[in-house]
Amino acid sequence: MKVTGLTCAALAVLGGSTYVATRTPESPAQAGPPVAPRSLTPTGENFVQWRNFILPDSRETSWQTISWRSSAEEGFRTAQELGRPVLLWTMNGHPLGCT
Amino acid sequence: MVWSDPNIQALAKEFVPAAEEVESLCSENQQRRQQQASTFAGGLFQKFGEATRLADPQNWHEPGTKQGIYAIGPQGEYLGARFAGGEAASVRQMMTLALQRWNNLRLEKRYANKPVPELPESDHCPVQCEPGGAILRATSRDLPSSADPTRGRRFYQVENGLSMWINFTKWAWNTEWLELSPAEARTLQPTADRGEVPVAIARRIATRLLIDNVRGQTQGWQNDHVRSISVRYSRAGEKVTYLGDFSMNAGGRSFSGQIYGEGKVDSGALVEMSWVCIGPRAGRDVFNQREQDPGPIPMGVVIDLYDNGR
Repeated sequence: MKVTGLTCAALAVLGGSTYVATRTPESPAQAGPPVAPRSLTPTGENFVQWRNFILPDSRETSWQTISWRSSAEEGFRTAQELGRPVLLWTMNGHPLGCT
Repeated sequence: MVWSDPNIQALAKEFVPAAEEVESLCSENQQRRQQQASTFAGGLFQKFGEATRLADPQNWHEPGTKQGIYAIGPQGEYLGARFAGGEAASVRQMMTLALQRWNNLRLEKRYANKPVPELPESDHCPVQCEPGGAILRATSRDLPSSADPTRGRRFYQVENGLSMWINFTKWAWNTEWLELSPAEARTLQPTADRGEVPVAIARRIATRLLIDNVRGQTQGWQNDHVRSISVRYSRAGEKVTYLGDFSMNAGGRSFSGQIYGEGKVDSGALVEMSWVCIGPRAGRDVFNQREQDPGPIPMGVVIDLYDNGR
């Protein structure tokens, strides 16, 4: 089960601290850009704030709205089935997260 | 950064978007490249490359890496290319011209031009785990400090954040994934009220996920680069708390710091876990764009239990 997938956006209150088991923090339209805690030592008090700061917000993950096929082979096969062009994004290190 | 541009997101709907490791299509090793030419995808990409070399030579980088953004017809026809394309305006222009070429090509070759199905929005997790295994996801970002309070900004907070390639270093972040076998996932389960995450799994997590890939690809750490890692947990009811520290050093590259994490147990099994790992990084790898940024300076990594295998 994906813990942090789109189908799971649960707010769990655990003994006084709040662990936000959600895929992305609030987008800036609702909450503004994240603010980093003052202390560079992660603790229970700044845990959620540090997670929100390090994890990407919804504007930063808007690229995921593009329907990326995760391989060139899948892209080309789909393109040939549909009679459509391929938009190929290729890098040293797979672009979809494995860098 | 290109893909965050809403105009580019709209143009992309006219294509079948696909992503791939470039070395698997057109290797810089000639022998491998010849082998790839006889594969389905490699053959089409290299056919496209030959056409690009003639029609748009400045965007077919020969010799050398072919990383970039390319618009390719269903049979490998040239439509457009941007070698190492990293600026939204130039990629937008390339895609627009490519679609103009496509409109002529599809009529000439009578391509069906059917609508491209949209896929559900996805994290694009590139790994899978067996039942009973698990997947961890790491997210890395530079952090602000007294040395540089501007670190960790979002692209929309940086002037020309998307329009100048090099500005990505001012807002970069990245992810990495690690699949755990069922046996490895079992070792993460808190078996007592207090204990230590087993050294073996902690070291595996450290070598694969506590890495400096904020600005690009890194080879990560070898086992002997892990000078120390210790993660202790305490459990109270369904809540698990983690405290730890780590130190990696590869003689020139280093990353060390503190860990705080929280987790949740349900019916005796760990179902949620998140670690925040923060400390100074230093040094550079070949592709991670740290030539002008030797450090030491703070970096943060969030490690989440992305899939608990249940």
